[in-house]
Amino acid sequence: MASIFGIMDVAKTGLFASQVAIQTIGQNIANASTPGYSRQVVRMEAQTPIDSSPGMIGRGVKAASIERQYNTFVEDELVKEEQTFGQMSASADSLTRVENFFNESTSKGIGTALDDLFNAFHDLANKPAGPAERTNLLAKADTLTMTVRQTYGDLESTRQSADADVSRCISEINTKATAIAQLNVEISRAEASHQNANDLRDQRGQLLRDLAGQVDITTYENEIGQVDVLIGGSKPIVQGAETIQLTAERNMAGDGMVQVGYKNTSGQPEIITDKIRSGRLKGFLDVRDNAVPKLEAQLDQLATGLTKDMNLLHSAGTGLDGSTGLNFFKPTVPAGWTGENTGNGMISSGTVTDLSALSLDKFEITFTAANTFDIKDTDTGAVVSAGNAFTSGGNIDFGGMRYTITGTPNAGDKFYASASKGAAKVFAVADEVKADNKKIAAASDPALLPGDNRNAAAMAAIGDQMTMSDGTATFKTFYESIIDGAGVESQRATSQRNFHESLLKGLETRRDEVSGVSLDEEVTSMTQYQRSYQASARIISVVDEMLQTLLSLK
Amino acid sequence: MRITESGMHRTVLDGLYRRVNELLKTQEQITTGKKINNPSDDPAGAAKISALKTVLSRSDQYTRNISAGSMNMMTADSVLLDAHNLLERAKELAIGQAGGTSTAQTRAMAAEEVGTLTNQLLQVANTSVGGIYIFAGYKNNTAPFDASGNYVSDSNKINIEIEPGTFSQINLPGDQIFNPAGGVDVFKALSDLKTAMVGDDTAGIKTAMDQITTSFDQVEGGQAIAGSLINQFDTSKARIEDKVITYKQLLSGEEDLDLADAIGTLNVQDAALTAAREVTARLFKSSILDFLK
Repeated sequence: MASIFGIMDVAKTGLFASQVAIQTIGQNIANASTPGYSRQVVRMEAQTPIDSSPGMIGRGVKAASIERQYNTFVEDELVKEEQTFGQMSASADSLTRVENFFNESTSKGIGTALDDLFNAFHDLANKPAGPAERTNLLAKADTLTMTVRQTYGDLESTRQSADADVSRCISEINTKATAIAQLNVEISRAEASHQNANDLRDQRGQLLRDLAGQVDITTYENEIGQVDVLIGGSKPIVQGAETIQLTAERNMAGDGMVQVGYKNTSGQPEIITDKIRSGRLKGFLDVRDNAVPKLEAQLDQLATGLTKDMNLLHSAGTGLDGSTGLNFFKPTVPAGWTGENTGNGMISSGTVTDLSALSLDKFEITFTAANTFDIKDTDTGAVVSAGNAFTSGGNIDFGGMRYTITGTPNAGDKFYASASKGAAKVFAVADEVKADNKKIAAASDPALLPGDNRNAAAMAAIGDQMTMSDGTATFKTFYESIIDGAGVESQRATSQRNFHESLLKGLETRRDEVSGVSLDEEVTSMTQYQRSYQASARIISVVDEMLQTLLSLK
Repeated sequence: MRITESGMHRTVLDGLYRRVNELLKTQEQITTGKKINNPSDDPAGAAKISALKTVLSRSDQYTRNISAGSMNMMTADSVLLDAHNLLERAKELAIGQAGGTSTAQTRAMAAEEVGTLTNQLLQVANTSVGGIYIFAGYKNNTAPFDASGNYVSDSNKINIEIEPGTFSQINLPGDQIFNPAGGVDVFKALSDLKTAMVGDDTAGIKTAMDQITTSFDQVEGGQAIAGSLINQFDTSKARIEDKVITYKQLLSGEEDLDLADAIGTLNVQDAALTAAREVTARLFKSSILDFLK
């Protein structure tokens, strides 16, 4: 049988439950704009009834739990999408800057400078002894070399700033990993004592999304609610409460750029740069190590090609003062560099032994044994020579160049050689010619000065000849392929970024469908619980009246 | 489907950003007057524009090359006419002094005039344009004929490119006009005439007169070469000018914006943006809170 105080208890549970519900609504409304927040809903349950006559009598309501509304599939997709979006937006931001270095439609760049230089050679051919023509030619050559050097410098500073971004990404990843590990501890502690860690889980979810924007992550949640985070598919950076920090390892032996170090044991960190697959970190690495170096290499080839062909012609000609055998551009110094070797072999920088045979390609010298090496052209993939015997300090000749390797290389060691590497950085008019424009070799025959214009005409004509890319491009069309390449890269990255941005927006909308806070909805439930609070209170006052009635019985 | 405020904000903002971006792109195009403002707008188009600019810049250069050659040949043509007239006068004098009516005194006076004619002809043969002697070979910075009329330059033709792959000479080596191998040395003929006149030698005058008559062909030959070169220059120039017009049209088609079209687009985009803004304003104006008391 129902007791009169029992009714009061039932009403009291109604008051409490409504209070909890309104508090949760308040929390939802307060966090309506919090990123990563999931709407919380109070799950109400009827209290276990008591057996009685005429039957079970209800004991009111209880707020059984406060539950987070979320869709695991959408959350996972968001984490994945953030990775690609992060990568593409990092690439697109840098590449839109890079393409402007090659913008010929609104400014005068290398293309115009090339046209101007060859035109100046035509003018010189028209008047080979003309001082004005010679001065103008030098000015045009200077402009071209300066523009090439500046463009190269701009590309280098883009790489530098991408490098700084790589370092920033690494420290950002570490900060987020630490925060995730901390939340792991708090979540498992809260859930062990059967509390809902709703807000903590939201915070961790948002951190995981932020982290995914920086680097590709794979996550596993264990049975106590802690999340393990792996980057690069195999390297854990968060394991429960533990984090393994990434380090920025500056590669001083190579190009001085930062590599991603992974330090899971004591000793030297493992370099995992190659394992990074997406996220902003990958975007910056791509810009720094692929997209920009590719453009730099092409610019290097253009500078080396110009130096080679113009010097071949110029040194065969005769200046107005009878000088002959002079270079027009500063001569090429072929670069040599060492791979990540185990031996102590060192490669010298090269010398050009045969300018007309000089190759603009990159070569790889691989030691198949301690005293045998193969030479391969890595641009064409062709093997230049194989099974060469090695003597320390002996001449190694290929591609019109001569190198020496000293020390003791081990089997498997690699050395690299390229005439063009870094050529754009030092591209300049030869000092002697620059100091005295009479040294510009417009004539072919010293006996036929000053009217002999054949060499100037030949140098003018080479601008329209297929001298680049194995005889398939002129200097200018080669440069146009660089413009095209820079444009295509930027276009691709930007459209990819926009595409993934749309996907991300779509996923966020889907997340909102489940997890987002709708103010209309909250206010409606608020009204509902407010009424139910009022009604419960009314019951208490009815019970009170009932008691009054009883107590007033005489 | 549940719609939330923050979702609505995101969708609306995204739409607004897109509209503003499109509008900015069109505005950039209108400001610069160009369709392609960055290589990524149309990478192939950007490369093509650069190639067309090379063709135009080179065409400009060829036109300059042609003017240089043209100027030399027009000068040559005009001074060779003078040379012809000078030689005509010398021939007239020779005819006059070869006959019986002339005396030693008239011949001596005529010899004086022949001397002047020789000097004038020497000036013609040493004509220079901008410091370059046009009747010289490669050695063209000093007079090709010395005071006695000896050719001291070489016989090389100076060639310049006037169209891609087409070379043309811009000088007329004087030894082929004034003293060609197997031909008449004009200066020697004049000097012989003068000597014969001074020496009152009628036979000598007649011999020199024949020589001068023969030399007309040489001078006319020079004029013919100059004339044909001028012709060639004019034809090439006309051809290049035609090409320039075509390529300018191509370049314009590739890079210039159709302004009317762009302004139309701008208006549409502007209207779309305004509409989007109005909708946004209306969307967030009302809430259930306005209706609950």
